[in-house]
Amino acid sequence: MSLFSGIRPRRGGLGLVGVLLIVATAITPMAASAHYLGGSWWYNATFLLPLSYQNQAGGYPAYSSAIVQGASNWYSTPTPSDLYSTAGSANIIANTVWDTSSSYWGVTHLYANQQVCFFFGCWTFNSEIPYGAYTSPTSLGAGWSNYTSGSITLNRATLDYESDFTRIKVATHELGHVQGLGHAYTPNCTSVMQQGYLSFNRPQAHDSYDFDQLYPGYWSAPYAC
Amino acid sequence: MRNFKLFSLAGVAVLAVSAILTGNISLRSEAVYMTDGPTFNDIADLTKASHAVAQVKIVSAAKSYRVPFDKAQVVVSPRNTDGAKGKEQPQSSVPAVDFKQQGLLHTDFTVEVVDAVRGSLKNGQRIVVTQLGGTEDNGALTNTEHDTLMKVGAQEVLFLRQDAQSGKFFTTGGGQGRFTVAANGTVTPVDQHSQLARLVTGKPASFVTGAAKAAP
Repeated sequence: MSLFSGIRPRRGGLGLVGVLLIVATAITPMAASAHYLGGSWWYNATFLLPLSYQNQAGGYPAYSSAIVQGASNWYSTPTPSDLYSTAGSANIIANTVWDTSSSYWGVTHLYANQQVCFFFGCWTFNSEIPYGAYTSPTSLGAGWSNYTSGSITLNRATLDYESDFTRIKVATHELGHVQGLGHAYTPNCTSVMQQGYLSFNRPQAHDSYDFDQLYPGYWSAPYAC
Repeated sequence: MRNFKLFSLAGVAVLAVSAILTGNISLRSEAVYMTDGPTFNDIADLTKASHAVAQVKIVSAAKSYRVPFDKAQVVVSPRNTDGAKGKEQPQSSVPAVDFKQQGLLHTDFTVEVVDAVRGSLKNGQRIVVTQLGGTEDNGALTNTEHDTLMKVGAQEVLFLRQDAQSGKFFTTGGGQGRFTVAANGTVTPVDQHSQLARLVTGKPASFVTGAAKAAP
């Protein structure tokens, strides 16, 4: 007799199938997009995407200015991006660190709520989003909410040796991440989401296109490579 | 009746395994730091930016720690009012939060130099290499994108810079300065998206170390 020959819906088979589906969903890897992190902030598709940020870099004017300019760079694009600064609690924190033990310029974190279900109940945790949950451009993996918060950090130990131009590029790049954009690797297609030194420090047509694909409805930048 | 008992037993077993699996998967938090930093076109470029190059064996990993953020000094700038967007000025509909982050996770690895390729390192010398990322006290893991944490026992060719303050080393360009050496002696770049990846993937380790030695 087959192990599963006794499965009948009236005997709880649906519950068993449900659990197996949950497990299958949880362990099935999905390809991440090259241009998006996966997931997004909640967006109503017809309005701006206003997100507040707390600029904590006031002790280092070159950095606080770069953060303000980075937010302004995104505001100036044909996208719903609308990052505005606030004194109190915020959606995004922008700060600095003095880290001499790494070569990075900037770091971004994103957080979301994760609902964890066992067969006897479900719980919700707010946590940093794991890499494996960045599964598709428009949503995180099973059980994950939209983004709930994010942070960008600029490393003074490396950026002190760079120009204002590059500091603004890094702030703009990290603010692109915190809004849901991933790194861009397309050859011959300029993007502020490329890593490293660039000859520009503002979002390019490709970035606006990607942004409007992620948050569609308000604006529609034309396709650009 | 016998079928029902068998089914029930199998069901309970599957549920238990599922709970364990689900629990492991869901509670195994693996966050990621997304970064920006300098990029390198080739081995010569990478060597020029490094203080030392060596093939090493990763010996051990110390407890992770946090490099604290700078003390917060909040500044508020006027809101943009240009163009059509400026007319709306809505507030965020996503609830604001108070952040409790204290700093960025780091982990120190002790590595033993197997082949000192360039710089002042000596074969057999043990040094400390710091990496961005690590494991929290609760077991939650944070890796850096394109620069996953080193694995104890593995061998890598590392392009290193030295922190003048602590004397510890870190890799040049994060994952760009790391090449995992397989048992057959070939290398795999840790940063698969770097320009270097196209140049060296599948090549023998001597290809990388030779290029580093030959670099001006």
